[in-house]
Amino acid sequence: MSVYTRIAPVVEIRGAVKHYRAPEGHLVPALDGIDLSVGANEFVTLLGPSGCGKTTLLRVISGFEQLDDGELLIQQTQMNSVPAHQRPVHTVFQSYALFPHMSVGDNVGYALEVRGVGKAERRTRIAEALELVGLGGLERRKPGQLSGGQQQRVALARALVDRPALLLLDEPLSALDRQLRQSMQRELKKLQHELGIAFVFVTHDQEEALTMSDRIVVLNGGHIQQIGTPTEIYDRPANAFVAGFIGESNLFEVSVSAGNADTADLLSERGDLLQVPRRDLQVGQKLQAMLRPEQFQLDRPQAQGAALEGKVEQTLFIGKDFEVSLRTVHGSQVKAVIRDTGRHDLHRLQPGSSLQLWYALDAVHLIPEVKP
Amino acid sequence: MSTLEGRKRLQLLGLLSPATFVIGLFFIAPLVIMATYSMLEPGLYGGVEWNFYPDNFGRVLGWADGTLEEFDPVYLEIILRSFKLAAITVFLTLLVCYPAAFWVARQPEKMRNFCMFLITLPFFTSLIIRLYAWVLILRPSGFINTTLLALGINTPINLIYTETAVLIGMTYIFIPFMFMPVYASVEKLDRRLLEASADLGASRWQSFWKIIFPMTLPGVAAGSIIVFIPSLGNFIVPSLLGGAQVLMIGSLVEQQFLAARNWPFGAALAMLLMVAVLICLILNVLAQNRNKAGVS
Ligand SMILES: Nc1ncnc2c1ncn2[C@@H]1O[C@H](COP(=O)(O)OP(=O)(O)O)[C@@H](O)[C@H]1O
Ligand SMILES: [Mg+2]
Repeated sequence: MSVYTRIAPVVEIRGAVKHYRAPEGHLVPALDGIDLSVGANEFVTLLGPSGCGKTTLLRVISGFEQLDDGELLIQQTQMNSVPAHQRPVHTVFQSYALFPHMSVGDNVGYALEVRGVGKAERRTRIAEALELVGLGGLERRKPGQLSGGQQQRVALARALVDRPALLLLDEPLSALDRQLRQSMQRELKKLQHELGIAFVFVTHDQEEALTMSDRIVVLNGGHIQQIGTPTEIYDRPANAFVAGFIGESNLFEVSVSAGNADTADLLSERGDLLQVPRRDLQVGQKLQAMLRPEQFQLDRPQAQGAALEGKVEQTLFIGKDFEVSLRTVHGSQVKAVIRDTGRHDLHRLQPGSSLQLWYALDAVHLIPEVKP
Repeated sequence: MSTLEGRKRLQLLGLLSPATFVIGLFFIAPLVIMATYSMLEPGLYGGVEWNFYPDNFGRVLGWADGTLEEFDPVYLEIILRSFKLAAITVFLTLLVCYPAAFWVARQPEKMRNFCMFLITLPFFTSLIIRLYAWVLILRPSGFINTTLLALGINTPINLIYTETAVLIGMTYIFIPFMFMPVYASVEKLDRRLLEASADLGASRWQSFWKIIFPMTLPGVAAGSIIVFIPSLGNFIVPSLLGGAQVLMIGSLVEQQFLAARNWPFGAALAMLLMVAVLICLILNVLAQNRNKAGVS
């Protein structure tokens, strides 16, 4: 449990199950036993490949889909069958869904208007909300007269105008170009921090998730794969799926072949040998071992280290760093990002040359084999 | 002007002349003839005398010389009735088509196509035949009354040759004309906007009046115009289902031309009808412009 949810959570989901009926008639599971709680003031990201159930989970929270099984609590109140318009939750839609026949001001003031807030108060709060997203003074424009980025901000202002307890964002940045997306990421994060509203943010972009979130929920096939802070998820992925989905990784299927007092040898299926600190590994135990590309270096590390040996297949200069593809003597492909290389080391990275890629033993992350 | 530009102009003129000719011949010329005739004196045995004679309009609008033509308020009454029946027709077709459009738009694609086919189906049969079918249904010995009789209700209800019969007939023939534009605007409606509306706290009722209705209004307006104008001048339905009791301006014009052989008066009535329609259209355009200007 995170530091946020120790206080009362905004949303709690227990054992959520949701099926869709496929056109052919059979049921397709979209959520398959989801447990999640989101604390007040927390930025939680739902991350997973397309079709993993992110949108479905958001729609369950906002009230556009009903759970087949399980429980949904918003602010400690059971909300399974409360209609969408009565939930203290707003959504920023991927398509923005601005009302094209209304001015920007009327769009932003909509939530206030339907609750019967008077015109004068509405006007000040619309101005505030637009100011918040940096669009002050655009009240009288029509959505069609704005750029994509501006429409995005209007959608945000519209959802924040009456300070909901929780804001849901379904891939809100995916339609923006890269530069705009990055500046919006920072702004959203800042806004969330300042307003103290809990955000549940959906993305399939792992970089975006790592940058913005307090916690990341990795989903696949309707299951939660892992919940954790960005560093937890990146450094200690719970399984091969998470390791592969977030960041680049070199994964080896290994079994513990030998061990002494402080190290253990891991033999990969291909025959590569890795060394790790002994910990409580049993000889014969099957595991997956993960090394991130940037954990390799060209020289023996200060700490206890070991190396993989092979031939360089390709070297790419990716700006400041070099990305090296190595084929080990046993035929495995290893990807390494070599940092701070003196240019005099470059000849060592020539394709075809033999190379040792060193790693610190305690950099190897071990994933226990999941029993089928 | 450079010669190049001059050549282009000539080319353009050449290219446009067939279209100009067709419009001039088939559109402007009849209008000019009608406008002229409406101000000429009717001949004693049909045809026209070439004298300026404003009393054709006077018969309707309140002045006449009292000898040849007389002012009769019945004409204004007929015009007003035409407006009333046309307006009710618009309302009734809307009442049928608006909910129907939503229902059709929600169907799977095959069903939608089938519904569109059903809507166009009546056009495969002659209008006259379809209206005679209504005569058979509505007349005293018709389908409705025999059914009622079979159910034990002995007093036949008088349906045919009433305003109700005319309204039934006009609603029936104009439903497809209302349905098409309304359906087009309903189908375009983005479901996600309705979700956004509910998400922001609007009840179904509020979503309807704040989102659905304003966004389908252009379709409703287009349908209303398309139905209103031909209803106003319609003469087939009132002739067949309204008889002599429910005279509308369309049938009056028809009578003047074909039966009374008073062409100038018929032309004057037609001109009045056209002016009324033009005023309606102009008002509509003005309202739309104001709408656009109002929100931006
Ligand atoms: N309305 C629907 N009817 C049937 N299947 C659906 C529907 N919506 C989503 N699905 C299915 O449910 C699964 C999860 O979808 P979704 O939540 O939209 O995924 P994501 O947002 O992560 O891409 C997918 O396999 C998708 O095909
Ligand atoms: Mg989605």
